[in-house]
Amino acid sequence: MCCCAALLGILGAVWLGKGAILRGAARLLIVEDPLVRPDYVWSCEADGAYDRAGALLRKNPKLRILIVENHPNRLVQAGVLPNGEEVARRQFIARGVPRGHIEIIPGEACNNRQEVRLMAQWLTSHREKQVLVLCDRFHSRYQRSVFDRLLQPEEAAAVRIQAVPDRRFDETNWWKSRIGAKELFRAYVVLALAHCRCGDPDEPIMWNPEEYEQRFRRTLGGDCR
Amino acid sequence: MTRRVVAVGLASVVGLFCLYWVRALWLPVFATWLDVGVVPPESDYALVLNGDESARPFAAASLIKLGLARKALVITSVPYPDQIDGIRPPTHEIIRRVLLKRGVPAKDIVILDRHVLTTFDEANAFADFLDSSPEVRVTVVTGDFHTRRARWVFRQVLGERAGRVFFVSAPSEDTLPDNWWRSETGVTIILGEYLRLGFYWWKYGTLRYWVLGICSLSVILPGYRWYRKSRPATEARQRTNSNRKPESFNDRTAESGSRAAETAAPVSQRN
Repeated sequence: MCCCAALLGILGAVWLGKGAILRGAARLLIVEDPLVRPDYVWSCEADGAYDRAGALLRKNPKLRILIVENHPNRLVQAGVLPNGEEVARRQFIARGVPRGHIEIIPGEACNNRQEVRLMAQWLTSHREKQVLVLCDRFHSRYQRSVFDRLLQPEEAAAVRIQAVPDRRFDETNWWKSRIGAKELFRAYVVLALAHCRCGDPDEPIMWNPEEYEQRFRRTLGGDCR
Repeated sequence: MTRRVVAVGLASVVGLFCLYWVRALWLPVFATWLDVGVVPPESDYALVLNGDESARPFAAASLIKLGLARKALVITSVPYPDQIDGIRPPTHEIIRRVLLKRGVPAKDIVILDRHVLTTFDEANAFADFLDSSPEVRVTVVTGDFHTRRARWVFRQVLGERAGRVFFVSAPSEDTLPDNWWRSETGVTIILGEYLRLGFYWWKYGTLRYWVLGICSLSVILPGYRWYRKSRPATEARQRTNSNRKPESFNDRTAESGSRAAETAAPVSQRN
């Protein structure tokens, strides 16, 4: 009887404090480094990051934009989409960033860790520079942990994280939308895996459409064109 | 007792260690179980589900090239923020461009303007399409780890009509079934897929009735056992009470009289 009453009491308390619990669950994922006057901005797949970078540049005209080169995926290789650097460059220029203020870090990054490794190499030749990383709000702690793990302490200290909120949800309402719940789940999984030192493969996984067709041809024999 | 606990604990640790040691043998099963793709018979349409645009439309184009499907069917989706801002084209447009690049004629690409968000929405939009073309056979092209959930959802929505729908896997470019647990993306995809399967089963299937049934049984059965256990004691108590002779008024008066006399007697007499 006592156990039932205690359980009901706990459930009642959880129900009453659910808003605070859910907000707290999201806030655990967010890191906001103290703001400094950065020399460079790197936009890392965050909603509205181009607008934010443009606004920062208007405040600080000496600011420069960093773009890390990515491995072209099949859509880029097929000419369906322009490559990521080209898209980013166009977006920054459309927001008033002068061409000369955009710096490309060369390489063929397939995932976020490889981008960070390329940035680490770049930082060794740009000591004393402060880089502001604009990243997705729920992935900011993950991003911080990747920088802390892959960069030397003094390089990691030169990188500041700014958590950019998604226009569809934030820590105060993520549970009201399916996409918010999905993103929170994903953020926790990748953060946990980052702590387990689990990464992504360094080589991109790509299959060949011609081989895919051949597989069907072999299975079907002469039944197809 | 303590020895038994230690033995069980040790056996569990050794068992877990062995499981970990041979993880490459059993973990791929979790990924391959999700893939229910088949080699499809000839069909009228290849329906390309939204998402994973660097794989699914390529697979659909291959089916059309091989003569396994005549036309491609694409459903428009709710745009993402970067698509709203014009940074990236809409998903259906990317799929259409891939199909054109891979040699599918523009006249053979049918676009259903429905603005879907989930696989369930896609199944509903497709059900409406089937209402207008009830005789067609369709091959659904989706990511390999998504085929099981997609098939389940389409069967739920289409009912008997699902017999004319086949599922083909487009190989994922994010992870491989043989080593998905070694990458962040792999774990996120496989774990996410199982959670979504559970969510769909709960929301659109019978899972909630199963959970309700199990919860009810877990309350009712211990309650019944407790009732059965406590019943004999209650019955025995009742039997004892009923066997005892009812006390008469005279007996009770006599007893109280003798007790009063005992109290009233001098101490020396009582001793």
